[in-house]
Amino acid sequence: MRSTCEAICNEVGRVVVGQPELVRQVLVALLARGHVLIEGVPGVGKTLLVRCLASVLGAEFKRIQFTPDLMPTDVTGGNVFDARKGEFSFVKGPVFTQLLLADEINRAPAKTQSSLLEAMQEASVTVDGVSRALPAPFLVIATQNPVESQGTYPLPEAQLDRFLLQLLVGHPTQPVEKQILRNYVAGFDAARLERAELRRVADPALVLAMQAYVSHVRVDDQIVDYISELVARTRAHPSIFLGASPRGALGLVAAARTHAAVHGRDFVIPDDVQAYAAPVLRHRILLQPDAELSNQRADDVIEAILREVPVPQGVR
Amino acid sequence: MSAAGRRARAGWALAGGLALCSRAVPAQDATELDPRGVRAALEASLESGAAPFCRDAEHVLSERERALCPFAAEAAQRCPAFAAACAGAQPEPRQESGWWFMVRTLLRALGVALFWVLLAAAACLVGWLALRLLPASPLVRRELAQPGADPVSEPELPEFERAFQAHLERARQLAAQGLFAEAAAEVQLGVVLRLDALGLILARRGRTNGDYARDLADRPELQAAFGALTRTTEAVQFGGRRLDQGMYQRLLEQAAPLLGAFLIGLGLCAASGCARSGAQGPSTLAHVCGVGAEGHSLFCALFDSGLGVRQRFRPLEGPEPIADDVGAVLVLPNHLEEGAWAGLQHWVEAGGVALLAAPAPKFEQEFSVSRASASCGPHAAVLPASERQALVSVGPSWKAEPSPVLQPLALCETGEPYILQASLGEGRILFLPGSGLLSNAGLLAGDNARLLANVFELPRGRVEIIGELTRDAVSSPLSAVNAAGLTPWLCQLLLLAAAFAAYRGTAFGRRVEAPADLRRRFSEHVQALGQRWAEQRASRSALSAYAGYGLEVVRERVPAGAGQSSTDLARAVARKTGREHAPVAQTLELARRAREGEGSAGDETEDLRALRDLGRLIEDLGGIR
Repeated sequence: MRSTCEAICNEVGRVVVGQPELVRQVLVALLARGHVLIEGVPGVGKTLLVRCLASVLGAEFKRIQFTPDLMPTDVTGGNVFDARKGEFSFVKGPVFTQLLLADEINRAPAKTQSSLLEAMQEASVTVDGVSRALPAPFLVIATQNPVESQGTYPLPEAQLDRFLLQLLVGHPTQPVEKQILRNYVAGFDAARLERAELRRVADPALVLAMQAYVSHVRVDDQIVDYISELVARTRAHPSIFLGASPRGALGLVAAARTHAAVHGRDFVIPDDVQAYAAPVLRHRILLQPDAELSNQRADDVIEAILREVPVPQGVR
Repeated sequence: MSAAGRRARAGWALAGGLALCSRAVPAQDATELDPRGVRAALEASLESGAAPFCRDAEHVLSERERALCPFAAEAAQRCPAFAAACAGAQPEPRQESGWWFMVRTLLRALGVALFWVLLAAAACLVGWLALRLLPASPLVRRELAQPGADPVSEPELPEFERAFQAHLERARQLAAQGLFAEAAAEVQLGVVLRLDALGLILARRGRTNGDYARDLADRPELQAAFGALTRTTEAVQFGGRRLDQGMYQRLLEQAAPLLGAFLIGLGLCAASGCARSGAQGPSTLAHVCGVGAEGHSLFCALFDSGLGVRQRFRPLEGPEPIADDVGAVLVLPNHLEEGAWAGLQHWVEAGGVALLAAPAPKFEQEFSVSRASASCGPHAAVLPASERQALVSVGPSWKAEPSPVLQPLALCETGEPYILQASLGEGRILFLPGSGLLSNAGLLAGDNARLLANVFELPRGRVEIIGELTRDAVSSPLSAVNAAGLTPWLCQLLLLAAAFAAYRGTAFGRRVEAPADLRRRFSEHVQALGQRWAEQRASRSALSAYAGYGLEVVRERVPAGAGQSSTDLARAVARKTGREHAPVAQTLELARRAREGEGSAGDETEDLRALRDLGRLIEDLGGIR
């Protein structure tokens, strides 16, 4: 599994330059059966990443550009009257795919955003009382712009909680940007990805098998206690108004398991938990107004909690 | 008080009344006073209310006034109402109700009891602290004498030393019981604490093995060893792997480069087992102890051998002889006098081990040994010969007559003894050719550190180092300071302090700001909100919010009959502020559109300009009240 994951990351990394950690985290989310919310400024390669991943995994990929006038049926699909047959037939929406990029998800109103809820949680869509399963594996990668707030609809807490990871993408470093420019000068065109000749490293069936393997990664009781303590501390920390939910704790277990598997281990160690504590918890906690005014970020608080909680079998 | 006295007092009181009255009389000679004028003044004074008992027969006398009542008759002429006031009913002393009296009494009693209880508790606390702090107190002696007390938790040992030695000792015990998984966890913890003690990593409770491995990034050989050890122990701790004796030995071999000779010292692995591993060879101490920690290889070597190390500063003779927990003393070049050597001999005869790495004429004469003039040569073979190891020799060899009490432990290539051991009473003395062998260079050369740890076979317990800092008896603290060579430094320090005091005066402390009030001011919240909006470039939102408020204020400031339309409002505002109608109407229209959310988001500069224009308009209309 480790070699497959490394091959996937390397292949995607050929095109998505300078974002190895992001690629790995998205892969972890996919294997943990989670979904990803990527927060970053426009133009840092979020769409390219998902397209490359789909290409390397041989998975179906669709993209929805969220706008204020987007309707729920534009996401899920709906029953349309077929005049020739004289009956209603279901037309699948773009959500019926394996990798779904929900671009600028906070541009659409809450009603449309929540149309993704069932799809993300249950991997199925219910229209007019009929549930339809989504193809597996199913991964939603939503993006939002952290700078612009005008004309946006912030994601409600319930929906944020459904994302396994929130990843932050910043501007690339100068050497990485130079490499991007060199690739462009050499003829790389993100719109014509087929020219990059990405090798198909895995297929959806292999991804499903890897997902199944991850669920067998051992989580020792000490690790369970550690995660429980971390999450409990988010509920009691003075800088936090709303702590992480039990779903957050489950998400942390899933992410840590997958991280362990990706690194070739069949058991979770505290490093796995710490590596994914921030991506899993940062969007699940609400800071106190005073903490926000002090320019504290959720990551700062999570880091402080990680420093405070004793690591299992570590120094007391 | 006598009757005469009371009378005199009443006279003074009435005289006081007269004196009071005299203030109303114009200043003139007493002989020229007109009695009628005085009387009139007195009457006026009495009328003015200065002495109410003189004019008011129903006046209730105060306690002090009532004391004058025996003289009421004498004062009747001047103060006619006084007698009647005295004859009036005495005010009844205020009667407290029964329950209130009980409550007050109870509270008073409780207060007194509480005071004495607190006083007694404070006295007990002071007494207990005194007993705790006095080293010779029975309380402290009892705690120290508790059976089964862990020898590694004695207060003299530094915290890290106690911790990592304790973990490795526990690992040894657990392994002896066959609990290899638990022992592996203790070894891992011991390694972490030891690396922390050496300053190579920063061990904290929230840090993981991965963090420690990253700390060792600039020491690749240690990082690799630590990574290998960690993989094994984590597989046991978190992966549920079983660990048998063979695997445990391999784990110890992985830990050897990180623990050095400490493994041998605690018997964690057989010497042969460790010899196979990275524990042998010059790399061990060079990597873990020597490099980056100049000047303490000797401490490190002894420390690695599982021995507590302490430098002795106090004289050997006198009230504090060598302590019972000291197993061996290491004698380096020193200034000991005859009495000190005698004390040392007695201690060895009682079962101690003395490692002489400095000239010790008393012992050398007693055992007829002397240093050869020539050097030992490059190597010295360690005995017994089966060890097949050679010390990198430093310094000369020994010349000694064969004797049953003398036993060579290492031989030069010439066959002369390099290290000698002599029995003395129940103890033994080890003769080293010089302290060079125990210097940093000497210990780091070849495999000297490990070989010496084996050759010396020092008993368990603490090693006390006797050297230049070990002083003979001193008569006073000042002479101790002088003997330590600190007098010039101390004088300079005092001079510097005096100069600094003269320069700074009494304000030695660094001035610090008073702690900030944790509760933020409203203006700070507003500024933070504005900053947040600015970061988000939400100028239109800011304009929208301010326009809603501003238009309300503008409507309040203009006359009620100004009309409801924007044009009427603009006209009224222009009239009141003396501005031109067009710009006022433009500002108000921009504000209205922003409030209603009409139109697209404008340029940030335009929004801010509109915001400021509206603010100025409000200022012109009287501002915010």
